[in-house]
Amino acid sequence: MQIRFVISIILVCLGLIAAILPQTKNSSLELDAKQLLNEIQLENHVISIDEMANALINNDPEYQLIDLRSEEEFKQFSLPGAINIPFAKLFDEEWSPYIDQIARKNVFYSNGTTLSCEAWLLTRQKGYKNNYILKGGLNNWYATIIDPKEPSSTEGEEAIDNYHTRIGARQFFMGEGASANTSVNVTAKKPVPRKKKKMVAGGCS
Amino acid sequence: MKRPYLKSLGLFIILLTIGLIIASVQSSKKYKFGTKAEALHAQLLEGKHYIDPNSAMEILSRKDDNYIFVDIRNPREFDNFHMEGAVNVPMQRVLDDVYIPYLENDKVKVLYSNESIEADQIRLLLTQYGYDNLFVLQGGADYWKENMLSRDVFKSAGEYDDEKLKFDLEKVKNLN
Repeated sequence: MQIRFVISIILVCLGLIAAILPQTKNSSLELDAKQLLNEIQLENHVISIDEMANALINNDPEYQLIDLRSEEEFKQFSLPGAINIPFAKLFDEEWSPYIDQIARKNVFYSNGTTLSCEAWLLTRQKGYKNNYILKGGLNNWYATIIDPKEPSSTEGEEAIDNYHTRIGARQFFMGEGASANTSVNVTAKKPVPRKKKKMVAGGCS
Repeated sequence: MKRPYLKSLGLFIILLTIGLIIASVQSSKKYKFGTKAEALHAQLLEGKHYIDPNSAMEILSRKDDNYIFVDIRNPREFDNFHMEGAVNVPMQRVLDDVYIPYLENDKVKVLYSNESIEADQIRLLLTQYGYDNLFVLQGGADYWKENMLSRDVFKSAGEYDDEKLKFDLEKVKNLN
């Protein structure tokens, strides 16, 4: 009898632990400060301009750009395919199907990053997933894609590759007329023949 | 025969369970947010929570001790360069107990990182957590070093605003 009693107590206790431990994690989807701090540092929620431009060029349906600026600003200029959710209306009922979903990656952007950081932290605090920040916003978009700086020759091949990708992206976004009326002229660089390696001279050969 | 042994085992397990429950509840409480997202959203819409480099310069030059600059970069970067009178609270340790005195006081805390993106996020996180009187230095240390340290600073350079459009819309009208 006693043994059964003890075993039943053990089982009840294990049951209690099982019932309560996951509850503290999942009872609400909301994160706590420590978890959010970890996510901030991981930076998985920050999307670079190059990454976004690439997704747009490839017509990647996974991404949904969300413009957080005012309606007027949105009407004047916005990124291709973006929808406008002014920051003030972020938690309005009509937009919740967009910001609280698991199907597409929402990329928040504004002129800089202040608004998009705020939108991301607020939605993340509520436990929403799938929201991202466009790093540097429209200002960085312009500096990276529309007016890219030519890397100096010391910056290495990767920087030069990046530059050429950006020039390509620029033409994609600006259309045909873009290259005609601007100072950036895309001239194909002549391939620089690599110097042949000299045979090893001297030594034991 | 075996009864006393079993009894103490049972008791031990009950205590362990209670302990675990208490521990898990407390640890999850410690980092709970003090401000709800909706409340914070309303707060953000009300007013600005950053200061531009010009205002920061003024604060420094009048040695206003109502303000304190909080550098959230790592100690190596802090040693390399930091704002006058700043304290270093590395962002990964910002919730640690040792740093509470820097964040929980009557002063206006001006957070900065290299750019403003980290400071923005940490400021918001700390506000969500329950601290107040937190501001962000527009442009961060990078902008400060580049534009504010020379002798003849342009006034316009100090009016840096992260959310201001910095290019001519005419140049991108083809895009839409």
